[in-house]
Amino acid sequence: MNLGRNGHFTDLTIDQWLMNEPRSVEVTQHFETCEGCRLAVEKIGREVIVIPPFTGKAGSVVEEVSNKEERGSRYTKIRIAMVGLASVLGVLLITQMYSKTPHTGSPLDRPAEIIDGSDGVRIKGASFSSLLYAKNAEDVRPLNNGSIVHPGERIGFRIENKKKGYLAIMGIDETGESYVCFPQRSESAQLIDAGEERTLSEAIRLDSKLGQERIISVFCETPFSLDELREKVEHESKRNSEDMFPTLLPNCEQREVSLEKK
Amino acid sequence: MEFQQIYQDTYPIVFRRVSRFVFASEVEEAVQDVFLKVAQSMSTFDKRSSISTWVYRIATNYCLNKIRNQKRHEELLTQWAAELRPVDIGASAEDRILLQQVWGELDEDLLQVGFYYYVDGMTQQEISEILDVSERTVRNRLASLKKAGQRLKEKL
Repeated sequence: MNLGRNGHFTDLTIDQWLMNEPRSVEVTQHFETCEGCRLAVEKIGREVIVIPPFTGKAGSVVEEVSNKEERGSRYTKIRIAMVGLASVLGVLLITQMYSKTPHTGSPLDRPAEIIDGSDGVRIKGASFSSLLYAKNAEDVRPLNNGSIVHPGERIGFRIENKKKGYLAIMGIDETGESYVCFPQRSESAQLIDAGEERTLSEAIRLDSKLGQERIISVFCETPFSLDELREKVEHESKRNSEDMFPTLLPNCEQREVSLEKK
Repeated sequence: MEFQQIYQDTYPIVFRRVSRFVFASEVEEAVQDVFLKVAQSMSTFDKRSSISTWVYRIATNYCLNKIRNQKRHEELLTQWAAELRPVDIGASAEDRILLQQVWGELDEDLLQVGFYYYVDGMTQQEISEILDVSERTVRNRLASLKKAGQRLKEKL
């Protein structure tokens, strides 16, 4: 990572900074002292870029590349197959155990009530659920209330809905600035068919602004505009930044996850 | 590193880079084309530079060739000159005019160096890292570029 000819960040430096690549002392010091560069990094970091799936115009090429990478070890494949088999057996065993366990009324005996224990993000009986996950170069992990995230990380969404309805996901940062996570190319919430369970192709990359980051998913049976939702989110955020949001749109379901960006 | 991982991690870099070179309606297709080239070149990545630097170079090369073919360079160069952020303008108006004038006549190597130097405002050291050539080569190519500009001026 380098400074440009005029001693400031170049486009590439900004991109590499946002990717958390190793930084030289010179670059770090410059970032700390140059307001122009800091603002440039923040501005670009705030941009929400939709990452569509690779369209596979090059599908065969990608497959070929992956195959080359995998071809290396026959033993790796055997190990993967064995781990896969063990996982399937494990899942079957657990399923059988649960099917035989009588309900006693204790929350521990009702594993389906909160399906994944993610602070109410997925709730039994609800029309929809949304699951957030963070992805960086090393791993992918689910996000719950209070999860720590880092600048440059990508946040993705997985949704599951029972009823047909309209979904929008919006975020708001520590400074009260809101942004649309989904749908990013529309002015209104997106219609989702009943029974859909999928990972959204739209993801966001976190900027360098630290602090609380709240992600709100709203699901309604009737269409609504993103402007309307944005207005409510910003208004409620100004009113109270500590508590969870009240119902933003009448007769709609809502999920909120509050993240800590460090 | 697998292709899908590179795609996810560097998509924003390529998107931003391509957006500066091609018109909005062509950006998505151009980004996909760049990643096709990335996929095809993965076996040649020698890990001497970071992935982001390598992908950035592929994206830049792709775009330079694309716009050169499209003969839209003057319009785009004017647009870039206006869009460059105040903090990173390393090129004088004269430099940019030089690049505009000789654009169509340059071979690919000179064009790349000229672009990184005059438009992106990179140092010779950074350009040498991106292109994986020595700083001396970068200096020589810049000198050739200036000579090409002078020759053109004399012709005019």
